[in-house]
Amino acid sequence: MSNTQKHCCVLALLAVLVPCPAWSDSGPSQPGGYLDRHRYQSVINAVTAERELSGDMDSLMILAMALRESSELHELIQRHALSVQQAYLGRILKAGASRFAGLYLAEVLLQTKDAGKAGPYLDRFLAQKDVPAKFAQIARIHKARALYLQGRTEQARKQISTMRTTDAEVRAELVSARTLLGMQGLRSSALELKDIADAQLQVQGAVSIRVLNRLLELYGSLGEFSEAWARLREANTGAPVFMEQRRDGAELRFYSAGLPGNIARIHRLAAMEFFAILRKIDTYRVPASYMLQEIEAWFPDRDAAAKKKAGTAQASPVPEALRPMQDIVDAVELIRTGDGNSGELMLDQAAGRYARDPEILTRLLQACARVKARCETVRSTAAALSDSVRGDAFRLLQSGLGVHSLSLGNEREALEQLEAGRDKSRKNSIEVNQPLNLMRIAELYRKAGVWSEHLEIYFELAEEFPTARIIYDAAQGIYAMEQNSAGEVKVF
Amino acid sequence: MLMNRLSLIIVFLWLLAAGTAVASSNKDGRPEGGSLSYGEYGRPATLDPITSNDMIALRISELIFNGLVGIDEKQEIVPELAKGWDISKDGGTYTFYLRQDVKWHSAPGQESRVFTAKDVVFTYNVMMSEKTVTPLKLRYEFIDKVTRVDDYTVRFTLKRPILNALAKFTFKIIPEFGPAAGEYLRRDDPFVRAPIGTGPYRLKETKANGDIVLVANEQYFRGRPNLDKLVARPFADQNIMNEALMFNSIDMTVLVNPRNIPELQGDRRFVLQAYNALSYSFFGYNLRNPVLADKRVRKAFTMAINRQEMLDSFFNSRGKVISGPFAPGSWAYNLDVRPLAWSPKKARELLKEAGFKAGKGGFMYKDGQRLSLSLKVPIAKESEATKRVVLAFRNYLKKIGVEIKVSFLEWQAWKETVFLNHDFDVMFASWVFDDAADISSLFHSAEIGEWRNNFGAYSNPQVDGLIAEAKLTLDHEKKRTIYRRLHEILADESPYTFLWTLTNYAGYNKKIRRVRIHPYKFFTYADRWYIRLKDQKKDKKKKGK
Repeated sequence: MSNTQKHCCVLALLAVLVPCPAWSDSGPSQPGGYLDRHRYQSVINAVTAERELSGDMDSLMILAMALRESSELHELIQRHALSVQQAYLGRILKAGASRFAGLYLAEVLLQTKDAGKAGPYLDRFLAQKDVPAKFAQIARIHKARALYLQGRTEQARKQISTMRTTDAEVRAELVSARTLLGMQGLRSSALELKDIADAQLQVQGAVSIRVLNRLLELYGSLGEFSEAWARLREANTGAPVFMEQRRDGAELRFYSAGLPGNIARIHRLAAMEFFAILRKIDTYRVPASYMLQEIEAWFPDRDAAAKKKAGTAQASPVPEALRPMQDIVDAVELIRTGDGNSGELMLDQAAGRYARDPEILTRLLQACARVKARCETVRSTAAALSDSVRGDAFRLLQSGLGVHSLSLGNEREALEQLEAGRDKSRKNSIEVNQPLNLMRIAELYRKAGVWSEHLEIYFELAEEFPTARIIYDAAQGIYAMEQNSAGEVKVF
Repeated sequence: MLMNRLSLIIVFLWLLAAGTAVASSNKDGRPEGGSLSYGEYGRPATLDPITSNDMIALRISELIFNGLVGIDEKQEIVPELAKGWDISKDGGTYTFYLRQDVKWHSAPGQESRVFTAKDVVFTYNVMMSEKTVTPLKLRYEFIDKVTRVDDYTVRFTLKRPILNALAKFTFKIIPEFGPAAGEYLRRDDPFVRAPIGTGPYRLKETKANGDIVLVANEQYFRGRPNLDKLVARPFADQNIMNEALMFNSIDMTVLVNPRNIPELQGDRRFVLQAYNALSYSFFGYNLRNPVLADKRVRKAFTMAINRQEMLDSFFNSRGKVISGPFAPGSWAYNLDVRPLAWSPKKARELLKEAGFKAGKGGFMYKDGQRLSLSLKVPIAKESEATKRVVLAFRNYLKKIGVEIKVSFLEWQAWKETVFLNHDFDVMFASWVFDDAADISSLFHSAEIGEWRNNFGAYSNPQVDGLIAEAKLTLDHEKKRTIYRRLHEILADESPYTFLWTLTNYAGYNKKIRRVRIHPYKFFTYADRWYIRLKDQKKDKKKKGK
């Protein structure tokens, strides 16, 4: 079995259940190969183009798996992007380097639901002289959003009730805010956004990031992905939302605060829909049902509309090969619904049963990390096995331990373990290292002020996942301010 | 006034931190003793911090010398020879208060001399002397004058405030009584091979086989370093250096050969530690040659070679192809600039545009002259992968009708050929940067000359202007914008064919403990490295056998 096949089967947990999709056997330029190399965006691009021609189910399975992985990755990009953007924008605002930083910092804070802090930044932004009308309107709409988040709905509505505009971006913000405030229906808002995007496309040749972001948000809330997904395929998601040109020639770039999260949601919705289709086909019934269930376990209380559509039924008795994975899903569900002891006990028992299986132990550790459970038995079992194995198994277990340490807040230990789990032969490559783990390592280096290591990882990630550029650019900005070096250069 | 009070508070806090560091050095429970020998890829030409411009010398001078300030493991500025400082309100004056407990290295039995403000003034004057050959001048031209206020106070007056000025005072201080010439330092001064510093290690000897032996400075002002001895051992061949590590004849290699990474990663006896992300490899062109002064020719060379294929084939895809003069891990890299695509067809068209025509033997000719160039490569780089890169470069260029004559030279001879005599058409090397990502000495026309970093004599008034503007600005975002523009221009101008960034790894025996590596200077924290007593005993036993 080729590595590609093997990985593909492992990833899908299908080793004995279904044959691997035919594409998994093909070279790296084919979707199966891309998936094996964690190039989820390339899978999405390639399969989407191919499916328009063939529409076969093998490719749909690969596509659904890639979308699921991409969704999780974009969730993490979103989290890290908010954190680094907040730090960067706060600094340039403090340094008086930008007239617009306050507006974008407020957008970041609204995204983190920190409305109390966002309000004053918006006020200060609006209090400046000669704020362009478009940005003043956007700031007022954000103010309404902040008021709403603080429970002052009526005041919020008043803020935007009479606002009129012809600018596409302001309209997009207005439609989004009016929907949030219950001033117009979700479906009509989504359709309005579609019209705004169409008009913008016709006039400017592209949909702007701000309009795209709100369009994804509204279609995501509707639980519908196809319109948003079509727009995403045409967009440069690594582009800034705005570039400030200062009089002295300096150029500052600002990025969307919510775009990666909205991409994550659209990809998740698409994955759920595709798994729901695959579940009805004998060959894919078991794995598709499991994966659907897993998404629901990992992302509880979200995307209710899509869940309703997809349904949650486990199709048939769980085959033995899938048993440990099913245990994990069940345990997570128990912990999430308040029965932490039973859930953890279930995970610990699974660790005892699979004490020699690095892959299952790693999955158990990851599950513990998701629910922030201490899982001492899982941890000690994994650590013991890690001491006695080498190569891939050692690295896998160390990565699992690192993810778990991180969830418990043990950052120093987490970095050591994640580093031990990192394949140094191509240390920044997403093809040999799990992108999520690379991002975790990058974030820990950022916190430690090791900027070059942080940036190298995002340099690689941005090639495949353009929104990673949000983090790269903001981190470069902080690094430029923080670096304390004399300017030495040597030849070697 | 408030500012002064604030800076005094900061100084006080720093003093406390420094005090803690001194106290912890002897109370950290780490055992003293043991020695560490490490492999280098060549012999340094000089060991002082002023005339050297290579990484081998930098690593050694980091052990021997100190600056007024230093950088701690969190990359924060901390006191070193200065115990504190004041910065004037306008940022134009920096006053440093020096430690009074620092002594210059001395051989056992000899009396040590005391470090004072005179040494600081002297070092600055030597650095800026017209007779001194150093790449440091451009970096310190922002200083107007330095004044000795008293024996332990020194004041720098700046021509203008600059960004991150404090970091510039990390330059290493040499003793007034050191250089034989007195007011300047050249490479023929005995001091450059027998330096005297204040750092944690002092030079004991340079052996005939090239080993440089450093021993612990018992009087080090931060407390005696843990390891008794450090030995730098030069290797001409990286494969042999790796073998030496595997067979325990050395304890560390500062640069692991890429092909040995899997072997070391899989061996529990060793630690593989990445460092130094800010470096890249390149082919540099000598623009004194009229052929290479034509941008179209340089661009043609870049487009003729398939960098990704070379990286994939010779380095197993380790590293990334870059588009310009910054490493991707730096704050200055411009992601909008894409590497020029491989296109031999376009390369040939560019050569034709530059006036070349295909002729005898498939080579390009202009005015009856064959397009034939020399390529000089340091032998220290003669690893298998590098050889392949160089030969591939030759073959790629042959395909567009360019003849490349490759010669490998010993490290010092190569440096003299490239940096002193400028006797080359194309050279192959790598640059390593600290966090400041300062490319001014590489591309500013004022840096053309003997032993200067602009070895290829690249000159572009627009680039000079942008570099000057970047130095003048006090605004980080402005500087970022300028650097992005510089990246764009230099990618287009191609004074180099920018190749790729490769991760550098140190490999070391696990017996060396608490190894923290400075990403650029390497040994900055080596005074706290240690070997457990039981491992020291094992080493002694082995040596006894």
